[in-house]
Amino acid sequence: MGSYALAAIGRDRPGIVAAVAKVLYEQGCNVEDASMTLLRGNFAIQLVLAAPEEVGREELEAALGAVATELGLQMSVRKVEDTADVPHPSHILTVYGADRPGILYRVTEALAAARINITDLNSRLVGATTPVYAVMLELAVPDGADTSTIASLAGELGVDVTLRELEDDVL
Amino acid sequence: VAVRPVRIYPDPVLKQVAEPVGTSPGPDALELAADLVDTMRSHTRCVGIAANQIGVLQRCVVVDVTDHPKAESCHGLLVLFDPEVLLAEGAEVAREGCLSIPDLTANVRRATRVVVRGREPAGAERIVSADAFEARALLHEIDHLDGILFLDRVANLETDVFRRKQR
Repeated sequence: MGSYALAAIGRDRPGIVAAVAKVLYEQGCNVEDASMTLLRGNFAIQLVLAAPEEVGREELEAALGAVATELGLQMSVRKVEDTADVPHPSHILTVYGADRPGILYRVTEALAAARINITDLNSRLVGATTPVYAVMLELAVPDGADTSTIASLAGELGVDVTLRELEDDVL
Repeated sequence: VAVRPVRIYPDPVLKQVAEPVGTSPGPDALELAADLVDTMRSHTRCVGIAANQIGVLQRCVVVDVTDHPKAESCHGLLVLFDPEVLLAEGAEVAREGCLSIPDLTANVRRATRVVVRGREPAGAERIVSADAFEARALLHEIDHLDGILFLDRVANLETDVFRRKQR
């Protein structure tokens, strides 16, 4: 079995996931982790799949080609490593404020400098009169990491910043 | 008595702490409460509003979860000055939105049972024991009085269905 990452994006319409999933099923592939969402009217697919030995990147691209053309999807397939040893999120960071250039950059730059790994990120731009940018991140914060620079971005960028530990109650 | 315009983030009043009204709500406070009720009623599917949201830094919230499918306890229209949470227990994550942050919703963890003490417009102390959606609405509105928005309390990302911290 080989692992492949499939990325696709196109103007949203009903049936995109079904069309892609059908091809993968017919090729004997197993879809593992997937994240799919609507981004301002564009539907984005990110997934990692396991393919049978005889199905390689070229076979996958050929099989998916017709669907991509029919649905107007930009698509790419590439071989990846499938590893279960990934950082586990420990914190949630919310940053929101009047939109301006550089919010995402300055926040993630501070995270990178503190060796903090982003495990998940969603952002939304909303608001008709004053555009408001809100970004929510799940982070794997190493023990002893310095998070003080993140809080200090609030005043500098005129945004509201909340960093909290993820709750891990098991019910 | 009037429907007042709702302040929209990033209006700074939404991040400010409101002042106590005190033991005998005066005419201004009563007018504020009436305006909050009218403003809440003017928005469909609005179950609560706090004074900050109409630009007044006085501690007053109104909540009404009547006929809401997620409500269990229901005290009808609640108008509370200087509300404080005496007890909060249980926890549940559910999606919330806010009049002052249109177009955004997020998963927020809140207590499932609360006891809130406040003062009614007539001046009497009122103790409300609420659960489920009414508890959530009260906590959301009381947060407004402290300049806290639901985005400050996001519990997890919508995509977080499978993920669990493993340490």
